[in-house]
Amino acid sequence: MLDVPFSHGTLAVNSSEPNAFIDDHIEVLSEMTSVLSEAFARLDYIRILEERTRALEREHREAESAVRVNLGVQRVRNN
Amino acid sequence: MSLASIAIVEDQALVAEALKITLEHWGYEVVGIALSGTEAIGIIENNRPDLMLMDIMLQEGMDGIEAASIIGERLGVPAVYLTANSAPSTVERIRSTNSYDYPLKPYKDRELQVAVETTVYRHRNEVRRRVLYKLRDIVWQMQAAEDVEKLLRALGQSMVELNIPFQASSLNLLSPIPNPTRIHFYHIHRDNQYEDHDGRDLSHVMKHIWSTGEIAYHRDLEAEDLYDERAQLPRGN
Repeated sequence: MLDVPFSHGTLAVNSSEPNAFIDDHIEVLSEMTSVLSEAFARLDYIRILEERTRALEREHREAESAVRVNLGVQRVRNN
Repeated sequence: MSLASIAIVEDQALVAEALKITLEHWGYEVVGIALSGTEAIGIIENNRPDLMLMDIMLQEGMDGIEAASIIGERLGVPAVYLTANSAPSTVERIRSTNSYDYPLKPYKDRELQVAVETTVYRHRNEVRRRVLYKLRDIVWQMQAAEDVEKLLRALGQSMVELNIPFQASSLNLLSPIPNPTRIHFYHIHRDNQYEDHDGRDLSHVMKHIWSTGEIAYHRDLEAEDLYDERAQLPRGN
């Protein structure tokens, strides 16, 4: 069993053969985990953006309904 | 573990046997000997070696360059040609195939060894660059959290293409970062599929491996007890 750590966890590969993995495999798996670190950093960023987008949409909806209420109040006053 | 796996394509059985002995002596695994191009395609399709040693003159049907061209296009296996023919037309045909070297007969053993080593090295690097580029491309194209699926499906395929001899693989995601207390497993299969589930509480072993940032290699699962967590930790923990 070979466990290669990266920013958000580990990538594990298993083989029933002893000494199945050579230096070359370890090297390329390390390069793959660098890509995984990039991927999960990007996913964190995407999640933050998605949360901000949702929060902005919520604020926008609240602002719109506040405007509608104000317009309604003005209309009642004007009448 | 051999240095690389090789298929020999040579129409003279005795020459092929001598090549096999030499290659095995150098530490390579010979996955098969083919006397014809058709036989070579079958052997290479079934065994997916790292390279083929290809004689140009073969028994019946296609010659070695034609066979290597078909195999190279279909399976991406590079060829080292064994030939006494250095005519410009032959060299031009060789260059149009997936080949880096062609020691001319009669060659010295060392010339063949260098040609094999160079081809294995260059081809592995080329495959590695291509696979990692493809994986990075998936990362760059991720636009939403759900796109992680594409990455997980590509992981198993990438390891297969890189000839990593795994039977099972798992991406173990820890959370929250930087002080993880939970783990989520993605079991990656060789056929682009994966399944996931929440794990038990984060184990000390997993947290230790992750926090050190160092690769942990248990070379022989029969000889080591992975569940003895205390044995995995440095003294004092």
